[in-house]
Amino acid sequence: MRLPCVLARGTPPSRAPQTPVVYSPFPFGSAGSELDTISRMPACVQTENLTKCYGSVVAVSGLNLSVRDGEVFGLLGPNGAGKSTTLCALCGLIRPTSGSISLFGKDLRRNFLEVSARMGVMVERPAFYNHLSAKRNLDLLARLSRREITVDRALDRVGLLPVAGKRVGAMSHGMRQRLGIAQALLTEPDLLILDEPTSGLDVESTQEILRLLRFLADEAKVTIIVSSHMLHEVETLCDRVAIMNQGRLLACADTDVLLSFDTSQAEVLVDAPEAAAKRLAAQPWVESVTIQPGRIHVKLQGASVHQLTAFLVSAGYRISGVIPRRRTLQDYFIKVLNS
Amino acid sequence: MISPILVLAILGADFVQQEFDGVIPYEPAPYGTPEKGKGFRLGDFNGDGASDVITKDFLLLQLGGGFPRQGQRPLPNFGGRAAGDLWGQDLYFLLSDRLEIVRWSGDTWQRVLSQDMSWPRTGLVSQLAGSPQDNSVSFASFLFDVDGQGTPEVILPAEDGVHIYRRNGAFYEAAGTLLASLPPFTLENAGDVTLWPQKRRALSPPRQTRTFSFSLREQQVCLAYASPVAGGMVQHRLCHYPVLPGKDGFSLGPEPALDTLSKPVPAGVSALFLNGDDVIDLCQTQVTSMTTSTVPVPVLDVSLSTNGGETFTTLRSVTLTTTPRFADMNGDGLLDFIGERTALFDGGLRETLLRAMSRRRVDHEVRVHLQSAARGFSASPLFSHLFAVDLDKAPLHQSPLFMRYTRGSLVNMQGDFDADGFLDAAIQDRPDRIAVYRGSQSGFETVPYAAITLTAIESFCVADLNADGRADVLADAPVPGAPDRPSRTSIFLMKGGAP
Amino acid sequence: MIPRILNAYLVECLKAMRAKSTYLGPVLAVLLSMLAPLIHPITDDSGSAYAFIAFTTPMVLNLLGLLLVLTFCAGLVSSEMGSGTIRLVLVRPLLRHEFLLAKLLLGMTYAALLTLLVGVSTWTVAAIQGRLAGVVFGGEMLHTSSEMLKAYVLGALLGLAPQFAAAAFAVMVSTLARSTGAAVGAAVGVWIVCDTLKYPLRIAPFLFSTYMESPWQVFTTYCEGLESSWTPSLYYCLASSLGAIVVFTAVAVVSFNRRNIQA
Repeated sequence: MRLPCVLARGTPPSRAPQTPVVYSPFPFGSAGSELDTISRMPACVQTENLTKCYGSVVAVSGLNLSVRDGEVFGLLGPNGAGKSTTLCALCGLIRPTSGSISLFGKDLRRNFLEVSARMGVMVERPAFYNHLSAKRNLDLLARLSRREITVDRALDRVGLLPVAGKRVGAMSHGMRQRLGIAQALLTEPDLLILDEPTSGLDVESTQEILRLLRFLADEAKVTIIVSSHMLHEVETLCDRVAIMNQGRLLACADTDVLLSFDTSQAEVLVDAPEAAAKRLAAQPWVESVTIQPGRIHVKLQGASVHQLTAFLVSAGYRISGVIPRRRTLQDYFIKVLNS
Repeated sequence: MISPILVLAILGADFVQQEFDGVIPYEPAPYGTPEKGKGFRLGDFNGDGASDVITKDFLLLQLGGGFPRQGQRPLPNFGGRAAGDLWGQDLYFLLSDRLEIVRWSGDTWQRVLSQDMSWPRTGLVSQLAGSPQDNSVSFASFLFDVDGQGTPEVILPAEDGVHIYRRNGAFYEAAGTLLASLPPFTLENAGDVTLWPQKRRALSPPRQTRTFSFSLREQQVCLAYASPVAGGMVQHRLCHYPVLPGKDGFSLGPEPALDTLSKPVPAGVSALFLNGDDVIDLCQTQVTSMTTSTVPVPVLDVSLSTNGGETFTTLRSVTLTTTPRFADMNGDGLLDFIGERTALFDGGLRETLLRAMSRRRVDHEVRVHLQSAARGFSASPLFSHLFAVDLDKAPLHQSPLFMRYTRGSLVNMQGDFDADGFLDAAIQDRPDRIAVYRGSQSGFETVPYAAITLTAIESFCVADLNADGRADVLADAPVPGAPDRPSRTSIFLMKGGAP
Repeated sequence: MIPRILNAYLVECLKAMRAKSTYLGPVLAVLLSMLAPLIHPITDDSGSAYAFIAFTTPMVLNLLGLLLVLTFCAGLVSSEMGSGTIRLVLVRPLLRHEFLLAKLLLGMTYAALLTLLVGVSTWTVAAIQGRLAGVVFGGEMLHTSSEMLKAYVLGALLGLAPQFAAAAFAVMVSTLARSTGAAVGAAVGVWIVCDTLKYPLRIAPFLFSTYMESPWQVFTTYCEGLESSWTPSLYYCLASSLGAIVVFTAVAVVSFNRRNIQA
């Protein structure tokens, strides 16, 4: 299937309707128990007890990961968490110390040729033959893939077609980054593995790339694994995220669930915030109340927002709005790391 | 690999070492001659049938099959520098002004003759002048029985001819100078001239040269010389003049008994005797370096003709020596050519440098080209054999052993150690070892037939000292534990071993 | 596997052809060959032109050429490793040993190209400045021009064996090093150390580097106006070169397969 070449500029498209979640990611259970469930599902990428050691340093430890077909999977973690090592192992650049990796249901090592033909990879800082033009670089890589490939199309997707003849050595970091994505898209892969794909890109380019990736996942059903530090990008792009630290998988959850409304907290736009806060603080089902200009922030304890609204209305306050608090990935991330 | 020592034990061949306090001043046999050594003479001095050795200092009597210390006797002192030669049991000593003849008798030297002589002052005698305190002896060849009467004449080549002294009764007397037969002078280019101003005009006459080879064989004088012919070529001439005894002395016959001419050959070709026939043998040696190599590989091209220049066979040696090596390998009376190839320069510039810096061992190939009476020298060798020589240090260090290797002194092909009629190879293949490899028509054996071990051998020579048909070895080495003392010669007599 | 290797080899060739540095070595070799008459003049003698060829070809190939092959091949994998471009290649449908063999083929092509260029340039110079009408000695034609050409071509072909072994050695070093500089330094350094120690350690007979000039001996002796035959050193040359190619390639494949490619 051919993909659209140029994406309209604007805000990133919203994620497609999610597939039903069959496990409960929140509150956090152990990653292992979650993945016991996942492992029984059809997966595009699956690792079992993936471990990579460099001497006495354990970079990745007993990683069990499952990425479903067509989903955009985010890999989060602080520096040194083992994200890049995991991605490198997934694309065969690193030989695991133990454990197994299967892509498209096949063992990576035994079926590398078959599997790698369906894979597009950009890991770490993309490097090219600096003395060659962007087009020549992709030409050579296309030859290695032994497929009839239109290089121009890949360049066009990342907006580099106008500078296709430019020497890579003379390109900016952002252009190289986009070229890196172009080479990953060269063979129209079924699986994209991208390490920090928007690193070094300006805001506009970042939006473009994110839109492109979302489009690939939604329309072309490309499975995408992305690692990033940019939590808001991951929020925007990924269907599911996993958090790693010190080589271990700490948590894995659907982004929709993570970003759902938190009904135990609400912002209330009320006409007399101080008085309302005073009344509410006296209630046993209210944990805390914070006054802000023109509104109050209420943390509930075992009560619902409906109960809160009913109480304030019955108390004679005029309410212009009740906004349940929306969860953020950052909250989740910090909470996971702290836990 | 079978241990060489085990092989030696099985064969039963071994050397018996005889130590000797002093040095036998032997020299390696010169190339192109079948002579075994120059620094000593062999003879049966005490009449016991066993060959004794006389050196410049001592008479070494062979006792009980060896040369024990108790058989060493000093030479008589004549109060001056002397040149010695042996004839039968008589030792002739030529001094600057007299002739001394001594004989070993009754365990002492008996003076047979002491005669004042007026020798020609040039040639051999000129080397004998010196202080009376210098009573050193060197050996030379000046005795020859010209008239075939059994008594040797004293032959002294000098600038004005070859002087002959014959015995008349108890004394020697001058018996002529062989000069008339010598080849004519050749005029070379004129020397420097001054033409003007006319008062200072001076003309230098051309130099006159005369180069010839003179030898006495039987009762004939053999004269070989080259005459220039057209085209810058030369023609070699070999004349045999009969020596005619007369009342006033010896003279040459008016007509040569043999007069042969070679074909015109280039000027660098020289005549020599490589067999017993009357045809002039010719040899041209050319020291060049390979034009095809990045390393200046020294090449000795030897062109040989045994048919008077009709045809030449060019044999190439890759060697650091500059003279060809001949030996009668198969004992047929014809000198065979020993080609050599040193592996010092194998493999180009890089390998040569590496070996020069770091390799102690050098591979040395010996190729034996036989001479046949009908066909001359064979272009392809009868066999070749690769010897490995340990030079003690890498060539770059220019160790004494390496310097001797460059002179060809580590390889000696003059001895028949197993008395089978085919010469064997004595190779100093280690600083402290001389190994003997038996030779045959099929080549040299790969394991030593016998070996000599002596700390830091400085030089060696091969000769049949005890006249038992088997070659023996003389080797010089420092006295163990006394580095300041002069080196000592050891005699190694070949014993046992089936040929 | 073979089509993939050939495809990768083609890609490697294209990459090399696009790099200016690739041409530096051949240009140097050709220049040296053409300037060689300054060191070894060609005269009118019948064998002089051939002697020039016999002098120049092994000299250029075994001194400069060897260094060029080592330098070029040592950078083949290490440069990709150092710059990170190897990550682009190794995620493609190509096995690591296939990639390595393609690199080795490229190195061998480079060595062969050097031999070809040096051969053509030396013969051209010899033909222009001298006579290539066979080797004549004493008026007798010892070796005709076609015999000389055959001996040369055979020498050149056989001379590729140690050159290929050198390429395999450098590629092996290249897979073990992290950067081009380290690889070139290690390749040349190890070569020098091995060469320096090979005689004291008595391993020289087993090393192909000892026999770099052996293949040229027939042509050389023909030039000297002598008969020649293939000597044992040539067989040692072929055997040690072949052995070295196998061993170096095997070590390179094993080490490269086990290597983690990460920045």
